[in-house]
Amino acid sequence: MIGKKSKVMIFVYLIFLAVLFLMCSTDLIIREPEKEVYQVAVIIEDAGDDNYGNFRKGMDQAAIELNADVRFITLYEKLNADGQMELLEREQQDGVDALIVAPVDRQSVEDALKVNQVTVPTVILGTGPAKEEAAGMITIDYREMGAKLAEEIKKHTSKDCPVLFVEDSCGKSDAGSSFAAGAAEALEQSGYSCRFEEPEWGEAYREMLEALSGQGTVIVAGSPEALTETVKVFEEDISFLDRFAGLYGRGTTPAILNDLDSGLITGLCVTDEFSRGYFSVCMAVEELEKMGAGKTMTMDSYYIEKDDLREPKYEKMLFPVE
Amino acid sequence: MGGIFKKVSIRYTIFIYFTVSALVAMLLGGVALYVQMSRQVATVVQEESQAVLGQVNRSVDSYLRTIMKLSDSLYYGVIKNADLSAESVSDQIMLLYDNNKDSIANIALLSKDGELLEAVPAARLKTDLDVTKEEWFGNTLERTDNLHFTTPHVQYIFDSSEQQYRWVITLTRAVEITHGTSTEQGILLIDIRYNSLQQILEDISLGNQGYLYMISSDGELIYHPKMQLIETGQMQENISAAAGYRDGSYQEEYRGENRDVSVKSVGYTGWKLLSVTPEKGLSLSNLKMRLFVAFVAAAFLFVLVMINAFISSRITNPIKELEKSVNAIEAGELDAEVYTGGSYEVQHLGRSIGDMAKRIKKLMQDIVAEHESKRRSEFDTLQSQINPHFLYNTLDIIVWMIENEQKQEAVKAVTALARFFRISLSKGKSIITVHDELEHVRNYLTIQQMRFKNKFVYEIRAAEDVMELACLKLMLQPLVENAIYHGMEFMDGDGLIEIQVKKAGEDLWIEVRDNGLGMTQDQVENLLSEKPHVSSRRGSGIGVKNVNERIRLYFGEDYGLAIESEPDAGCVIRCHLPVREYTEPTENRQA
Repeated sequence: MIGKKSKVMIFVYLIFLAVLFLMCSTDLIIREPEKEVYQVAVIIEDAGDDNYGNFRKGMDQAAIELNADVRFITLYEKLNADGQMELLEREQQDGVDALIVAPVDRQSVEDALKVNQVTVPTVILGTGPAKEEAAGMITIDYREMGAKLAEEIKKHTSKDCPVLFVEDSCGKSDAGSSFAAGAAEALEQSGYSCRFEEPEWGEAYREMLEALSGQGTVIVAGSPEALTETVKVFEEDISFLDRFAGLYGRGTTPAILNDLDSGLITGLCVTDEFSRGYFSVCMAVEELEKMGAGKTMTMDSYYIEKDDLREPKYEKMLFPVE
Repeated sequence: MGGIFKKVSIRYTIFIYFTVSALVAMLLGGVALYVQMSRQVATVVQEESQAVLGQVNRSVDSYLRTIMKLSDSLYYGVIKNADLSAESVSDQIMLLYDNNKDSIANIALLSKDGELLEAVPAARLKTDLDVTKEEWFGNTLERTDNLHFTTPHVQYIFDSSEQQYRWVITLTRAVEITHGTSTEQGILLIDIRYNSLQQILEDISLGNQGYLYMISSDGELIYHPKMQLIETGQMQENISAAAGYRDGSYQEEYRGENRDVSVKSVGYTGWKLLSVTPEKGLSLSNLKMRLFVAFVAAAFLFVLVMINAFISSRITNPIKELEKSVNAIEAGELDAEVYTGGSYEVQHLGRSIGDMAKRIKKLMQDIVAEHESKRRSEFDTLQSQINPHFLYNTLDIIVWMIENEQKQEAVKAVTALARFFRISLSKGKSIITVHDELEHVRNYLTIQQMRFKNKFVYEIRAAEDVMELACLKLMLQPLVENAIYHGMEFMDGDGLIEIQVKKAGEDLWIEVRDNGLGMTQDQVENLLSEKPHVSSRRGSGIGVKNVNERIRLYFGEDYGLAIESEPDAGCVIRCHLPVREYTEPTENRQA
C-alpha cells in the first residue's frame, strides 16, 4: 500500500516531470530565442560614400553574419553637424535599434546621448576614448597616423623641404585636423617648416601649386578629398610630379590606391576599413543583445607606398574580397 | 553495510538495492549509449561533411575543368593553328570569352618576353610593369607541361580606367606561338573571376556552426567565409595544420575548441577543400536537448522506482504478513492464524511457524499439566502424611487416659482420632464438603484440646447452606495448628479459637480467629513465605503456605489466604474460596 507521504512525493515528482516535459518540448516555459533582425543605421559625416567603400563591405558582411538590416546614410551636405543630428533623430524615430555614427561634431552627438535625445545604443566612429554614454567606440588615432607619416617624410626629404598641408576648403573634420596636427608637430619638432592651406579646388589650387613648384615642397593632403584634388592637378600636368618632393595623404578609395600604384601619390596612410565596418556593426549588435558596457576598439594605421600594394597583407586589407 | 540497514525494513532494503543496481546499470548503459550515439552522430556528421565536401569538390573540380577545357580550346583551337604574324585571333578569343564571361575576367596571350600579344576584353599592360618578373610567369615557363593556378589576388597587370579592382585566380599555361615559319613559347593567361568560384563555395551549410574553406597546396587561403578578417589578422584559422592534412577526417583542437575536420583534395590543382564542424555545434549541446535528456532520465527513474516499489512490495508483503503472525505468536497468541500466502518459501515458512506454534502450545500444555500434576502429587503426598509425632502424642494421651481410668475420655480421643484419619483419607479425594472439613478440624481440635489440657476452647460456626459446598481437604487443620502452637500454647486456659464459615455472593469465606499472642508483620510474612514456620516435629507437617498454594492451585490466583495479626491482638486467617457445590469427583486425578 502506498502511504500518504509517498503519494504526495509521487504527485510532486509527476508535476516535476510535466514541467520538465513542457520545458524541453514546448515553448510555454522556455522560448527558443528568435533570431531578431536588428535595424542598424550608419550615419557618416560625408555627403558621399566614396571613402566608405571598404567600410561598407565589412559592414555588409557583419550584417549577413549577424542578421542585421544595416542602412547606410550620408549627409545632404558634407560635415553638416546639424544635418547629422537631424538624421540621428529621424532614424531613431523611424525605429532603428542601433546607430553607428561618424560624427561631424562629436560633442553634439555625445551631448545628445547624455541628455537622452538619442536613446538607442550608439557606436561612435571617431578618435579618442569612448564616453560612457556611447555603446562603443571604434577609434583611429589620426594624430599617431600623422606622426607616422611625418617619420616617413623625414626619411625621404630633407629639412629644407617645406611641407604644405592641404585641407578641404569645405571644412576640416576631426580626423583631418588630428592627422595634420600629428604630422605637423612631428615635422616641426624636426625642423621642418609647415604651411597650412585650405584652397579652393580647381584652377585656384592649380595656380597655388604652380607658385610653390620647384621648391622641393612636400604636399600632405589632410583628407582623401584634398588628396584626390591634388592628384587631379598632377594628372593634368604630369610635370608637377617632378616639381614637388612628394605627395602624401590618407585614404583607401580605389582611385587613391590606383594613384598610388601609378606613382602619382608617394605614400599613403591607410587603415583597415573593412574591419572597422565589420566590427562597428558587431559592436552595435552585441550591445543590443547583451546591453553590456561600452568598449573602445582602436584600429591600427599603416603607411604604405606603391610596392606595398602587392604585399598580401595590404592587398587583402585595401582590396577586400567582394 | 549491516549497520546502515539495521533498522531498515526488508522492503526498503530490496527497493534500495534494486534501485541502486538499476541506476548503476542505467548509468552505465546511458553512458555507453551516449558515447555510442555521440560516435554515431560524429560519424554521421563526418559522413555528411564528407558527402557535402565531395559534392562541393566535384562542383569545384567541374568548374576548374571547364576553365581548363577553355584553356585547351584557346590553345589547341585558336592559338596553335594561327599565325599571329598574319592574322589576329582576338575575335576567336572574344567568342570564347563571351561564352564564359561569367567566370572569366581576362584572357591574354603573352610572349615569352612579356609582350602582350592578345587581350580580351581589350586591355593593355601597365606601362611600368614587367610581367616577366611575376612569379606565375616564371613558373609557367619553367614547367611548360603544366597548367598553373595562382591563389586569389587582385589583378593589377592590366591598365584599366575603371576605378575598381577585381579579385581573380590566374590560370597560365605555356603555349607555342607561331610567327610565320617560326614558333616561340608564349603564355596563355586566363583570369578566373574569384566571385564565380566563391559562389560555388559560399552558402554551404554544414550543421549549426560548420563551414567550409579551401587552401592551396602551400597553405594559402583560397576561400573562407571570413577570409577578409583572417587575412587582416582579425580572426584566425588553423591553416598551418590544415596544410599538412591529407584526404580524410581529423579531429583537432584549435583555440580551445574541438572540431571535426574533413579534407578532400581538388583534382588537378592540389588545393584542399576542408569542412570544419565544431563539436559544440552538434545539436546535443543546446539547453532544450539537455532538458530533454534530463526529462528522459527522470521519467526512466520514475518508472524504475515504481517498478522497484511494486516488486519489493510483492516480495515483502507476504513476509510482513508472516511477521505479523510471528509477532502474535511472540505475544503469546499461539492460536493466532499464521499467514501462509506469497511465494513458495514464505508459504513453507508460514506453515512451519504454524506447526511450530501448535507444537509449542501442546508442549506448554503438557508442561503445565505435568507441573500441576506434580504439585498435586506433592500436596497429596503431604496431606497423606500425618506427622508421626502428632500420632505418637495422641496415642500417648490415650494410653495415659486408659491408665488413669478415664475411659470415657479415652474413648472420646480414640473416636476423634479415628474420625480424624477417616476424613484425612477420604478415599484419596482432595476436595471434600465444608461439613467434612469442619468435622475433620473439630476432631483435630478435640484431640489437641485433650492434649493441651483445655488451655483453649474452640467454637465452630457455619450456616447450613455452606455445609455442602466444596472445600479443600485438610485446609483448616494447618491454620488451627498454627493458632494452637503460636497462639494458645503459652496461654493459661482462656484461649479461644473461632472458626466461622460464611458465604458472600460467589465467595466462600472461612475464617480462623484466635485470641492468642498474635504475630508481628514479619512473622505474618514468614508464615506465607518459603521458610517453614511450624515445626514439622510438632505439627501435622502441612504449612500455612502450602494451604495458600493449594487453594490457588485448585481454585485460581484470585483465591487464597489473608492473614491479619498484631502482637497481643490475636490472629485472623481468612480463607477465600469460590462458592462451588460439591460433586463427587469423576475426573481422573492423575490426569
